[in-house]
Amino acid sequence: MTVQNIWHGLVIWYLFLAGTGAGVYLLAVGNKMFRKQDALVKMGYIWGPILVALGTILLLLDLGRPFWAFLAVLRPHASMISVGTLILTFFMLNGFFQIYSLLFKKKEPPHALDIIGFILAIGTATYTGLLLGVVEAIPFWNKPILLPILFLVSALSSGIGFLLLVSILNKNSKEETKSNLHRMMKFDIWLILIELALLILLLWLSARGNPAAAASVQILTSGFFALPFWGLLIVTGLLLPLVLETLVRSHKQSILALCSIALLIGGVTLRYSIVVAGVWLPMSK
Amino acid sequence: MARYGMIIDLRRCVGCYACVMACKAENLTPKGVSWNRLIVEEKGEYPKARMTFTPVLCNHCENPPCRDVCPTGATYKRSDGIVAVNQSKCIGCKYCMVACPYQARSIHEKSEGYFSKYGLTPLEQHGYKKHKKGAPSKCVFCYERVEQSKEPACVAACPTRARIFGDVTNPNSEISHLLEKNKTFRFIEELGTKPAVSYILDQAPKTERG
Repeated sequence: MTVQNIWHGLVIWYLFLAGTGAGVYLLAVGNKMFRKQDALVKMGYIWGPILVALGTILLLLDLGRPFWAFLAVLRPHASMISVGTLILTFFMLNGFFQIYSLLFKKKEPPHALDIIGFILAIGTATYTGLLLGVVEAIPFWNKPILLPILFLVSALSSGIGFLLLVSILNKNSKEETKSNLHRMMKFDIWLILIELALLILLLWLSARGNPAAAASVQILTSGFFALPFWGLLIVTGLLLPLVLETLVRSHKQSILALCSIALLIGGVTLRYSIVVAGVWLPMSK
Repeated sequence: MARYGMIIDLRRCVGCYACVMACKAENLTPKGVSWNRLIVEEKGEYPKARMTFTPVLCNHCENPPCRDVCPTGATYKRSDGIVAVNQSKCIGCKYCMVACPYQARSIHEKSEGYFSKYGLTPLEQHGYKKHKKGAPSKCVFCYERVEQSKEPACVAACPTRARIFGDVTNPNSEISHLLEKNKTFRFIEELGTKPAVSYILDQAPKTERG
């Protein structure tokens, strides 16, 4: 059995940054659309597209022939990369227009753009899962429904981590922003529980599936990636924030900082775990 | 229109790597790029232990997953069934390398030659023009030779005639004859790729040919 070594570092960080950017946007703009709270929306408008753009830069750096990247939109009917390129491009164009009207025209961007951006952000977060999910040659990845949902939930969770981090680093954060974020942390408890359930489902389905998928599970639970998987993903990325958000009442800066960093580490390690544990179907007779 | 295919008779393969070297020489593939490789395995236990050699190359699938995931259409299927790559359309996203169940693709990442201390040899300088840096490539059944009615280089080089290449739609071709007479095996058929490369297993009964 061969572990895939084609996609690694840069692609993984791209998956993380695009997911987190989409998560930040979904949370902040969703907070405005569904709860009529404007406190976070500026952070979402600005950081959402910036994180996605940073991720896109990493994606471009990973390309063998980056100067030809514009050709990537040619086959949206067949290739997930074409679909993703279109979603990313429209999300960033929409986002940068919103930033422009917010910062330079000094007025609220049109409501219609919020809806378009919200849909494109869902697209961005789920497509990163679908990109891996449609690869039939790697059975551990080949979960075209489960993986996009897992990546979407994780994107929201690391989005909360990122928003927390920004509010901590910004000394002039308003009380209203903080109270909105504390509410988000309560919401995150559900996200983490769902993420844990989906992750267990992914491992369980894989362990009893194809031998290649079982080999992937083994890499994570007891193989070469076991230490980051248990230490950084399960304990630091999921259980620690879960404990901090459920049991710890205090909103001291240090606790919030710990929680935000842990969430972000969890987001990166989830993508690392899934990508590096990809094992091809065996070529055996 | 012809549809090209290959049979590899594992009863005859002795693991000499002549096909691997012939492929390198014919296609001048850069360092790190291998269109034709051998899977070498140990099978069984002493005293019945043995080594097996399985040459693997692009399967020129009827439904190639590499083509389906390609965002630009750089990978395409010719009317004769050969799957080829137009490297000038390739962006190097490597999705095809991930999606190919046969791990048949490799990428030319660095333009260093086999003797990096001394730069590129004249042969490499000539050959590397055919291979764009940053673009994956794969076996193309030596279509330039096939178009001149020659066999692919690996087939011509095989000393035991373990490789047979030909048109599977022509009932009189040797490959059609062999496919009919022998029990053959294709890799990872469960994905519906319909590979054009078939194998006669090394434990298969001897036929008039073997």
